[in-house]
Amino acid sequence: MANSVTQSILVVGGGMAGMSAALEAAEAGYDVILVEKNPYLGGRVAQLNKYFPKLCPPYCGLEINFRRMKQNPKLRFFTMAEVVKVSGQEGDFDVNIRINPRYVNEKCTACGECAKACTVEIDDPFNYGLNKTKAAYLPHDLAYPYRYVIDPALVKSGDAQKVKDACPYGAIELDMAAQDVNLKVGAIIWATGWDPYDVSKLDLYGGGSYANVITNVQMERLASGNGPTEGKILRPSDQQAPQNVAFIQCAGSRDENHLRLLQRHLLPGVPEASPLTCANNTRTARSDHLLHRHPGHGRAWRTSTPWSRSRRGRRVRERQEWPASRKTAGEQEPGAGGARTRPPARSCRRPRSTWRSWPRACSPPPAKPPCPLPWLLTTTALWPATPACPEWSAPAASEHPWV
Amino acid sequence: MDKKLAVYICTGCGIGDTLNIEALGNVATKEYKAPICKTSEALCSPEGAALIKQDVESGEANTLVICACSPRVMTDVFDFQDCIVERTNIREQVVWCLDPNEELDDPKEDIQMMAEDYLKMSIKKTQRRWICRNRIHRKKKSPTGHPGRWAAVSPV
Repeated sequence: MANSVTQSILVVGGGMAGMSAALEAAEAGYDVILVEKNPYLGGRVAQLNKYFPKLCPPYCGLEINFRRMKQNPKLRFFTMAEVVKVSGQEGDFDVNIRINPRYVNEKCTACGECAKACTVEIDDPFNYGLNKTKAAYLPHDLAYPYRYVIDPALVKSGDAQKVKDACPYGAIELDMAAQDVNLKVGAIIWATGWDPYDVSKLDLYGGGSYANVITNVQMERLASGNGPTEGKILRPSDQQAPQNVAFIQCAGSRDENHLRLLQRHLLPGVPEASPLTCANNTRTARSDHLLHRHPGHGRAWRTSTPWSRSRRGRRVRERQEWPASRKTAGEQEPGAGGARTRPPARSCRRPRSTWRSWPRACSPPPAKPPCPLPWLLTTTALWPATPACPEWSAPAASEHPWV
Repeated sequence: MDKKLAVYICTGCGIGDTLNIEALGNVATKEYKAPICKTSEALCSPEGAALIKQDVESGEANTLVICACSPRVMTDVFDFQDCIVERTNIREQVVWCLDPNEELDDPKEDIQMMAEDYLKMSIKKTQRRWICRNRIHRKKKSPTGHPGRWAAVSPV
């Protein structure tokens, strides 16, 4: 980008990857514009129950990024926006962005009066259509930006004026139109993510014909506390707890009839493997607490070393604290606080005196019995010659010098 | 630079319906002797923000306690330079999460007490804080010496 006309960067996609890229670039000093299609940032990660690798709720990591975004004046973002056209070349791109109408302006305080007044319902896109939501809705509980959205279906219906009058802050603009923005950027980061596979194409497994055949992303929403069932795993058909659950791994990604495009998208160069879905299903099974919350429906297992059995866990348990420094008390600088109060650091190995070369299960080898005689007397070579016993022929002295 | 405390209470989003705003204001003015205590129908609206801005620009206030929504939201609206800004979350953490019809001895009074406690905590917190410019506008030195993520943050 040394010879570029402009140094600003466009990031397409406001998911975890796009946000991270945009933040890193903005914190390194570039002007960054982030474009997100959804009315909220966070993308697919926001829709998960728990995410890799720590299996913590997604907002644990997203909030950190949101906070960094709020503090950084170099980063601007557009939600409900899509890239229409890109032209130009590296260092000098012309980008045309369309910002779709939200019908709610920045005066919105998310008080929820519009949702109370609204009677039109739509499939909740955040929950992959597992439930219905009002057409004037907050994308989800912790959405950022924390602002309501009005679905175009409501604007066309007769309910629209009633909803607009319900807003005490004048935040609803029913005549909001799509807006075109032209930008000049030097580089583009494409982080548009992925779409879940259409389950109705998997007719072999009854996808689309049975309500209870769901995708793993829908499973995430079922397991999530802010999902349609408030974290209970319930069958979509009758809202009862399932007796058995089967996970079909790589159901879409390995299907050669449908998925040439997706395969290439996920794993370039690897035509018939999808570790993403396999790993993801294992994660789903673990993190959803499907197995933990419903004992008897399956086996729960864990793959990592338990904390209590690990070296580090034992060290922390023995010392009852987190090791702040590897130095012992004597090696600490005199000004360093805490060294006197903290016990000296110990090795987690057992002391050398307790080391044994034999296995633990068997007993130690028997000790030699102490010799009652001084060494000189046990040396038979020095004994005086004894007369040969007539009943017992002694061996020749040359053959057995010691006896 | 002296701290000039000003307390602003929002009555929108159901706060005014649930809480006794006058009593809440009295905590600030009587107990903590705040010289300025103002209420607004919607502090985050342009009029509400102008109310605060007016006091800041006239030099009457530089320590702002804003009793309204969560600091997660409306961050850009309540961003005042050279001021200590403390957001007291009486919307999400008090009004929206407590039900006045709950089976308590005196739910109304309990909710009021909780809001007053949050206000007291915020005022106390501002009294303990030093006046400094907003964090983003200070040049930070990275602890490792590598410029890293702070390289771009320039003083304004």
